Amino acid sequence: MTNSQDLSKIARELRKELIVKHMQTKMAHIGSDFSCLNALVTLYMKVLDKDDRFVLSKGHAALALYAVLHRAGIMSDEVYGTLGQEGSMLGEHPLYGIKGIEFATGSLGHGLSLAAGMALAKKLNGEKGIVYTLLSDGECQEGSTLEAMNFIARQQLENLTCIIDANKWQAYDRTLLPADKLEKEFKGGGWEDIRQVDARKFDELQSALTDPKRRGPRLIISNSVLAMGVKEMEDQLQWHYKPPTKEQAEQFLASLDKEE
Amino acid sequence: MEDDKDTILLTADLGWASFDQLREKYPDRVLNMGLSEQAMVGVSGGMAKMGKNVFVYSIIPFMLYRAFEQVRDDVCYPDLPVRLVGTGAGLSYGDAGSTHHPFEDLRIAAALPNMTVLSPSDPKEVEVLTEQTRNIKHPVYMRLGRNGEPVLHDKHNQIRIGKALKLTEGKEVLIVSTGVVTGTALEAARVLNAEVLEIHTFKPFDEEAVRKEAKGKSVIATVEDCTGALEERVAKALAGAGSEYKPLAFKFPDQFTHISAKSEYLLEHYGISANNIVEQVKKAMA
Repeated sequence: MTNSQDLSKIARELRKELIVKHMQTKMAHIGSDFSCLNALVTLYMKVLDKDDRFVLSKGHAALALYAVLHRAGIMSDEVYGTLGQEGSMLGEHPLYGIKGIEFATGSLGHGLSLAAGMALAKKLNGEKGIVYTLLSDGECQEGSTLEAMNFIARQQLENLTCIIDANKWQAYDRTLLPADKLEKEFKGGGWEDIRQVDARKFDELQSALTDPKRRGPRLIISNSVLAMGVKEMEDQLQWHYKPPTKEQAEQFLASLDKEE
Repeated sequence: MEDDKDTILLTADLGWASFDQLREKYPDRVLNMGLSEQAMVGVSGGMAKMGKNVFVYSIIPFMLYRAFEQVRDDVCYPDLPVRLVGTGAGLSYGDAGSTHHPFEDLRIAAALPNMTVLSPSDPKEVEVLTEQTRNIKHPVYMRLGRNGEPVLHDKHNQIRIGKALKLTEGKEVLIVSTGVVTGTALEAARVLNAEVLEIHTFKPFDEEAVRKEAKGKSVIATVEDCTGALEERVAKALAGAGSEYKPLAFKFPDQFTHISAKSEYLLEHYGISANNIVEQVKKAMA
C-alpha cells in the first residue's frame, strides 16, 4: 500500500465515523469537516512532530479535529466517547482546555494571529518546529486575518505555515475570495512561498506541507469542495448546517463502502 | 525588560518619543504591530501561550473596544498573562473627542472573567502596580492617563493589588475615587476634611474596605471619569450593610461629548471638579 492509499483509507474511515457522529449528535458543519479532513489527516499522520504546533482557525470543523486527534492517539477513547453528551468538553467548536487543542476557536479570524504569536515566540526562543494553522477561505475576509497576514510577512516568520481550506462556499454564499484572488492577496502582502494543491491528492498535500525549502512563511491553498469525499453530498451548502438524517447517513455510508 | 528576557512589548503604532530608547535597546522585543489592534491582541495570546510576558499598548478604545473579541477569546478565555495597557483613561484625551474617550472601559474590562482591572491615579502608582503584576499569571488591564499627571500622595509603599488605599482620614465624609480624577477628590477632601479611599484595583473590588470605611459616615461620594461604574460598584458593596448615608456621584453622564475642550474643562463641565464636590457635599450635610 502506498503512502497516499494509506491516508486515503484513514480519511475514508474517519468520514464514515463522522457521518455517524453528526447524525447522532445532530451537530452542524459536516461539510466543513469533510473539506479539510484530508489536510488534517495528512498533518496528524505524516507531518506534525513534537516540536510543531497546530491551531485550527476554522473552529467549526472541530468534529473533524476530534476524530483525527482520536485516531492519532492524542485524544483518549474516554474523552472522544463523550461527544454529544451534555456536559462534554467537546463542543461544536472546541472549548478551551481540551488536550491537544491550543485555543478555543469558533469565532473566525483569530487563528492566524494566534499562530503568528506562537511562531514569533518560538523564533525568539530559538526553538525548532513549525506552527501550522488551518483557515477557511471565508475567514480571509476578516480584517484581523489580513492584519496578521501582513504582520507575518513583515516579520518573515519562516516557521509558520498557513493552510487555507478553499472549499468555495461561505456560510451564505459562494466564497467572495476564490483561490486565485487569495493567492494574489497574500502575494501582495509579501508572502512568497505560496502553493496551490488539490485537497483530494494526499501526495500533493504532504509534499506542500513538508517541503524543506522555505522562502519565508508558507501559504498552502488547499483546493477542496464542501462535504468533499461523499459524492451525494459534495458542493451543497445545506451541509454547512444540517446533520444527516438516519436514512441519509445509511445512504452516504453505503456510497463510501462502494468506493473501497 | 532588562532582567526578564521573556518580556515583550507590542504597540499598535504608538509610542513615539516614549518607547524610542526601549526599542533601540531591545529591537526584537519592542515591536510595532502597525495599525493592527486585533492582530496585536491575538499575537499577544499566541506569545503568552508559549511562555512570554507580553505587554500590549494602545489608546484604550482602539485596544479594548476594537479588539474586544480578541481580548475575550484569545487572552481572557485561555487565562493568559497578557498585560493590556491603555492610555487616555476617561476624558484625559480632552479635545481629541469622544472617539478617544473611554468612559465605559471599567465596566467593559471588569465584565471579562479572569481579568484584573487596574485604574491607577498617578505615575508612581503605575510603576508600583506594574511591578506587582509580575506575580499575576492572568490577564491584566491597566488604564493610564495621558502622561504628565502629578504624583498625588506618598503612600505608594502601601499599595497592594486588590486592596483599596486610604489616602486621607475623615470622620463624616467618605470620598471613594478611582483613576486620574483622584487628584480632584483629594483637593475636595482637603476643604471638607473628608476621607479619601482610592480604588486603584477595580477588579477584584475591595468591598470589605469600602464597607469598613463607610461605617459612621453621613455622606459617601464617588468620584470617577466613567459613567457610574464606581458609583454602582460602591452601592453594591454597601447594599445590605446597614449604613445610613447620603450618596453622591461625580461621574461622566451617559452621553457622548459634543463640546471640544481640554480635559480639565470637560471634567468641570460635567461636575467632576473639587469646587462642585465641596458644594454638593456641603449641601448634602446641611
